[in-house]
Amino acid sequence: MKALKQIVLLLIVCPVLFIFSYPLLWLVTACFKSNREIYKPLILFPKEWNTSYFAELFSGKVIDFWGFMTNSLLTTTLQSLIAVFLSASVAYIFVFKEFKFKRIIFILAVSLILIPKQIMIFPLRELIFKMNLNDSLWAIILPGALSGIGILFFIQVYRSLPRDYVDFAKVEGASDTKIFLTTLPLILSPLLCCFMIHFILAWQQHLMPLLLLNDNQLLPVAMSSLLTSSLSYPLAVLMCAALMCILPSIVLFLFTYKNFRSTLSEQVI
Amino acid sequence: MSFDPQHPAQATSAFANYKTLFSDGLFSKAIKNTAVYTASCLGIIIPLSLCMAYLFSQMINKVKYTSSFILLLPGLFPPIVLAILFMNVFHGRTGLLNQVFIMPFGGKPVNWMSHPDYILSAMVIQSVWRWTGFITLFLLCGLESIPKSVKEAATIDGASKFQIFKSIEIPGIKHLIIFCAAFLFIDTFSLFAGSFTLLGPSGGTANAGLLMVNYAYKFTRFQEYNLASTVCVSMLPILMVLTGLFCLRRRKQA
Repeated sequence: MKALKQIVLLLIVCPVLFIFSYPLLWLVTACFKSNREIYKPLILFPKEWNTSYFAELFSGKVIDFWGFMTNSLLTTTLQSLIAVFLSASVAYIFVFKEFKFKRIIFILAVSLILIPKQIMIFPLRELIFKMNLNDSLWAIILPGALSGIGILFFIQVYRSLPRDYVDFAKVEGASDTKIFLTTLPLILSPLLCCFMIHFILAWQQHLMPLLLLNDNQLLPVAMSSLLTSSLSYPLAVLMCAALMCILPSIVLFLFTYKNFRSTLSEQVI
Repeated sequence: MSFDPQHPAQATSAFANYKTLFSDGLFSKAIKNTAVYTASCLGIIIPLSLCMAYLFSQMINKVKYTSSFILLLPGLFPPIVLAILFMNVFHGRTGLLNQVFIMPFGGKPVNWMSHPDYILSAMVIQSVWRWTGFITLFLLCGLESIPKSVKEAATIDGASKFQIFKSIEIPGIKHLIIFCAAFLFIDTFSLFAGSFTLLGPSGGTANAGLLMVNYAYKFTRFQEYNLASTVCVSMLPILMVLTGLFCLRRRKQA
């Protein structure tokens, strides 16, 4: 009976999963296809597997692939690291410290989440031009280095931490910096989880790099110019680039999936 | 910045930019499109992922997590990759959507990306495909965290599966549903990259796919940054109301 139920469930779920994963499967196989086959989306597997497209992409003739890739990886990783560290420390202060105007500052911090970055982009652009940061990668890293949702998330995490730890440490005479640093390993799983979410979201940024960078491009944006700039190369090269573009997120997600799940069910938001 | 007149010579008051905007027919069109888009995204994604989460929660552990992982993969795609993929899905004659769902039933192939009536629905489909997985995982974890004993007690008292779902599980993850809805709302409301990469900067044929942020971006092509920021500021009130509601709820809980 139980086995039967599982099978029925699988039968219901599988078609949905197939619909949702079909484009991804298609993308993977499209990397080996000729132009004609790519225009027929119902054909999943190519007649002959042609691996030369990857070589063409990596050679850097079509776009400066490695340059864009390092740019993208660098900005996203740095930005997420800083964001995780900052939001954790801010949350620490909110939870364990008392100071004037705490409530008001807290509400301000929370409202950060609900105002999407896109809305603030134009003043931000002005600011960055004034700081002479346009066309440098810092123009992307700095604005992304703070996340409202991260702060809220870590506040929840710190609240669930036994308060006695911190009180004991204080009695023993540890400074706040020291307490903060030593409690970090305790919240490793949420830290990783937050890093992952931030990384994935930052990786997908489009508007900011489009407005702020010229030559020093990031991979996703570079791809959109690749898409529009004629068809002088085989389409499969574009597909290879697309695949490489989602690979970092997927790999990162694979490694942190377990953490993510446990954090989600423990710290129900 | 939004009060800085874009064209100082013609400006009569601090609200000159707002006047320009409100007299522009495109502005109301952008608002309408955004509203329709946001509403339909929320209306489809939340129930769909609730169903999926419920189905998943009935499965054995290994299968459960693998399948929710597969469902989540689209959420990891940058919009540009989505656009490349969806060009194939929505393509006029050879597109997947036409070939699988429309032509076999004798329907006429629809050009999803250039027919004004269909552009918005194409964008909604894209968004559903992208976000359902994430929301499902959130809700699934929420369902998991409801204590088993409560459900068992209800079963002993003779409650049916549907009753349990309706009066125990849904209320149990209500706060999560609200959180997800707020998150989705903000994301769809301020969507830029999705439609930008799918349709290009123009907003599609007859501006049928023009959303607010795209509308703002349009001005940047003529260096009209003040007007652009006016568009953004005019989006704020709606978001503020939402923020207020959200904060109120949290306070009630606490």
